[in-house]
Amino acid sequence: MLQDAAMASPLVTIFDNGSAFGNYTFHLTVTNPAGLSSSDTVTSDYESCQSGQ
Amino acid sequence: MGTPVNVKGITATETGAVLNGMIASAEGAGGVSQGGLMTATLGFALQSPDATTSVAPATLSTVDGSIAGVGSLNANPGRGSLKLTGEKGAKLPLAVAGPKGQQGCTPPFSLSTQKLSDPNGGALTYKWALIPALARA
Repeated sequence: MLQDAAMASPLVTIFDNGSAFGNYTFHLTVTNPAGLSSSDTVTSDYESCQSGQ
Repeated sequence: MGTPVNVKGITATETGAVLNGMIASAEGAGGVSQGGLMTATLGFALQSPDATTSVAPATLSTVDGSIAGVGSLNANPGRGSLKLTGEKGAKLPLAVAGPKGQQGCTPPFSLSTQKLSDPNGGALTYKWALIPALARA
């Protein structure tokens, strides 16, 4: 579902079988050369076309 | 033992912050004016430049101190100046995942790293992961 998860802007592909709609939460971790890291999350709302919404 | 020397209210400016330093204790051995050794214990704290902006706790990776003193035999108190230079330790990078509230029914779509920066100017590595739905409950 996540392509190029090590890139700054990965591509998200959802295989919709009619029940794929809902919230998807992604976790991002960035690390600098010193080994220090920071994280954040983002939630995307996917509305299935088959749900009629 | 020499005369104790106390110096307060000394500041030294470095990029983005102010080091407020003071000699917590100082004591000359054999008389400062006689070329004897003087040892000093330094204490300092970080403050924002305008004293109103909060400053995140930082680690000073290196601290250099130099002391130039003026005194005379049996003078009380002595006078001195203190110069502090500091180099702040590495800061955490800032990650902001986005876009927030992405909606649509035509995937695929792209995630992004909005406002992402490394205060140290280094190259960042990224790791994205999908949090399983059961773990989100």
